[in-house]
Amino acid sequence: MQQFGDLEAVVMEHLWSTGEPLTVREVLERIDREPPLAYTTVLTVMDNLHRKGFLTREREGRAFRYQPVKDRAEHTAELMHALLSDSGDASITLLRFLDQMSPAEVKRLKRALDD
Amino acid sequence: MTSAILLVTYAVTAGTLGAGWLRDARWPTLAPRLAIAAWQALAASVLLALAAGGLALAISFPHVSADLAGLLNLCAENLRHGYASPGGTLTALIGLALFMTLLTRAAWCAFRTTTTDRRERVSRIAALDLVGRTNIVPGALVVDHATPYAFCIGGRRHRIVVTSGLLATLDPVELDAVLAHEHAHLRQRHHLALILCRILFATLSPVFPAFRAAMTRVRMYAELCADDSARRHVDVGPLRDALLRLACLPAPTGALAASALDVETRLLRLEDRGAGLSRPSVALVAFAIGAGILVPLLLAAGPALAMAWEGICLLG
Repeated sequence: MQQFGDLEAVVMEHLWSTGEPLTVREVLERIDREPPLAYTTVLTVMDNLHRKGFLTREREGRAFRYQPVKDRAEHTAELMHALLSDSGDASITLLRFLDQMSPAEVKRLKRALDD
Repeated sequence: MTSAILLVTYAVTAGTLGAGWLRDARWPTLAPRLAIAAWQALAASVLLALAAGGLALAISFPHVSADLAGLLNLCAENLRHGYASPGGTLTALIGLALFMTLLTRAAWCAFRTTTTDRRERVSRIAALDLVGRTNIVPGALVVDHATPYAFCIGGRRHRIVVTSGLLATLDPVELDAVLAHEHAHLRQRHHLALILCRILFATLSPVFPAFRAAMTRVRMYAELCADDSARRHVDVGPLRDALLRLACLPAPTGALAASALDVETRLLRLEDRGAGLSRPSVALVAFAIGAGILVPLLLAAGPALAMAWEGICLLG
């Protein structure tokens, strides 16, 4: 599953930028790779993304037409909120350059620096 | 029995007074790397001492000493004298309970911390890879988000992440400084040090409250270490400017964890090329760290070592 990681990003990128539902073949056509990807590879990736809840799909004849559940901005906003709302002590996975300060603390800092 | 009493007394003293002293000490900001090691050594020392103390009480020497004496070529009588529990079975059971509780707690904390960390790390990196762009800043993922943020996720698969908001707020030189700081975290493998700290402190916190504040301290020291390391690669001015600019921005909702004092400390340290901790002090702390590990071991093995030294044997 690990090897598909960057492919998942590529597929999502195409779906987000196109803005309309695409079939596996249409996504495959948009991906420019040397050597070219196999249809089954892209199919597996898109199926995985669907399973993980990132894509919805509708049957069209014998194929499916996929589209993202959330647009990129929504997705990012949710992700950032989840990442950064962890209390400082709970998360040791993420090391931030600077933890945020409350307005009162910012005021206190400015006062201290002016001295 | 003497062994056990000494060990438990040492553990309690180190875990309460020692931890309290380290928590309130001023020197850590002068030598943050050493301070992290000191906390780890202190916690490990308390754990070792408690475990050894429990074991010393638990081992029923009348049964064991015959074999041990054979192994160490010592007198069984003398060994028994040094380690015997006058309380008999009850104290032995108490010792065993202490040892087993500690072992279980430590194993549980280790298991929970490492699995949670790994799971979080993997899922966060997967989510970031999906939305982030790699072609804007070399070596970093850029995520479309208005608020300026920069952070790293350590590990074998590691990531440095900056938001588009950060790129809009800082100039290129300041950005380089922030990236140097994040690279320092990865290079020095702070995530490993923090995981170890979390395991040690979580094991002891229920009984030794002084360790509850330790995790926050250690995270701060990790930031100071990254600042110090970044200074070797970039000019200190841009690093300081970046920190100041980001600190004074109005904060949106979310975890508001930082204190003005912490930021002020970092800014002051970046302002003057401080001398750091004096050599004698460094030597003292290093010595204390070594002693912290050795003392419980020596106390536990003390009676046996003493007898080996004297070579006295009542029975022959």
